Amino acid sequence: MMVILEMVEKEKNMSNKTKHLYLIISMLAILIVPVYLYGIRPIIVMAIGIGTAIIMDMICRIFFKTARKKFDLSSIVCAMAMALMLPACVDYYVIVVAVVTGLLIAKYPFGGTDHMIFHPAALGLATVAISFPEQVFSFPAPQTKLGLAASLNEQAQIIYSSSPASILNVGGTPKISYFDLLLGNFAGATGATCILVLVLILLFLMVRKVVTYQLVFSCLATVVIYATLFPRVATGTLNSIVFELTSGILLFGVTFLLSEPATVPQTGFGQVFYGFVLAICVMLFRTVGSLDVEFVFVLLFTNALSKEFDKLGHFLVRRIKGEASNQMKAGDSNI
Amino acid sequence: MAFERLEGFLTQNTVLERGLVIAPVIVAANTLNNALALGISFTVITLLTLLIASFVPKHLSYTIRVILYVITACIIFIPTAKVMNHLFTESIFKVGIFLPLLVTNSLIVTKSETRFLRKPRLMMLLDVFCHVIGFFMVIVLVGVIREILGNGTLMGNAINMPIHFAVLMLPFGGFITVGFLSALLQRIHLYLQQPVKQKKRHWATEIKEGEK
Repeated sequence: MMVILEMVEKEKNMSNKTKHLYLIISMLAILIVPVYLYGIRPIIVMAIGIGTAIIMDMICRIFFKTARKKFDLSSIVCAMAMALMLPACVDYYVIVVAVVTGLLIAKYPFGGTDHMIFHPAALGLATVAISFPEQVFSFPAPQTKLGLAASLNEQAQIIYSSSPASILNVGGTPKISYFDLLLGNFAGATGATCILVLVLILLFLMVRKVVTYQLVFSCLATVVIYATLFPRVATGTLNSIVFELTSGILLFGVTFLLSEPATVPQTGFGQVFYGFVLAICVMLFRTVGSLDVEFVFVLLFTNALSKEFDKLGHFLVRRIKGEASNQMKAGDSNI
Repeated sequence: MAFERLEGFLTQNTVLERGLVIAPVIVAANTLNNALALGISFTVITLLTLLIASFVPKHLSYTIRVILYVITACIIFIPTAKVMNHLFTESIFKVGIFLPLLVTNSLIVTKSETRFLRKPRLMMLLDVFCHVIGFFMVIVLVGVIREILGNGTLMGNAINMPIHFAVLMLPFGGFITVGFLSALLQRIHLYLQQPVKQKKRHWATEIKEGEK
């Protein structure tokens, strides 16, 4: 029995390790575009985040007496995700605070990687978004070469630009061509602007089963339907759909933040409902709110309900199986 | 035995251990002034109410007794609120509904019958005093932490903090602060429960694990 349990645990560890490796490689691939647009500052920010995550892992493991898991790269994945959801011109202390709060509040007090309720990257970003809004919501214009100083406040050469999400929030229509959207030539979070690369990575991660297609399709389909029925943009349905899908960190969140198995439902039906509720809440937050990063707040809310979606999924499967077996029995008795 | 009488301070702390009366701590106590206003009001209202409640005849039915305790608390609340309004004018406005809500706190409504009023009067007063002082310490500590780290001030005076986390001024910050303080208290409690020889062995083991 113990041998079987060890094999199952080894299999789980291996599959988690493979998932995290795919995510790390994908996020490194996304980093190429911001480096081209802003210089090597995004790499420095990410490196600081990864270093902070490794140190936090070492300290928290001793303090919380959590067993060390081999190949546990989840903290590094969270740190990289946080770095890519922040603007490229963010001060270094912001990524440190985000990583520390995300891991200290969302990961270790609940028992580590397999027992998390809330996604640490979402919590870290939400914390710094409220604490340092002037840092998190200031996006440099593309092709602005950023310095490597710890704080860029005094650097007067930075040109800031409004992101499509902030323009939509005030009732405007972003004046960005589809070509620029695909190549990431607009202001926004470091890793959330290059739509072409994000879509390709999303397809890759779905094929490799790092992200389940039920979550992705239910979420994005709901956003498309909502954008069609309740457009915030006055220039047509297509523009509404395109800008709602590409603004903010929605696409980045769907690609990278819905892949943590401990925080999302495990059943197929559960994932469909989860994606639907997540998308509806994101669109409602966008309609009445004014933040660019509403996705992480909604994700924290739905993370708390992920087990309930699983129960709903199990209930539906039992009902369907029960009805199917009843129909079969009725068919047999007719014969 | 003597230590058990004082358990309301720490091991049976109202907020950190029992999880009672946490709403004013988490939502309203985000500055030291607010915490002092709520803490002093809670101390006066609860202490005096339970002292008077100890004289309520036991032959009255449970429901009537509890209603009488709350009415007593409301009567004590009126002069208390006037004094607090004089001392902490701005804070009374900021804490809003949480000040009047203290008249129906769990110590008066529930704990009075299940714990305090079952003891002799002097023991009861000591127990209630420990509980309310335990609450007062916690709410002040939470207020200090949240104001210094969240606002960079203390009692409205600016402190030279390099950064401050505005999120601590929100209820989310209150939850996290109370959660970590509660975990710290649990840790201290577990450590105090161990016998002396085991404590020395425990620290030696922890140091060795840390070195590994």
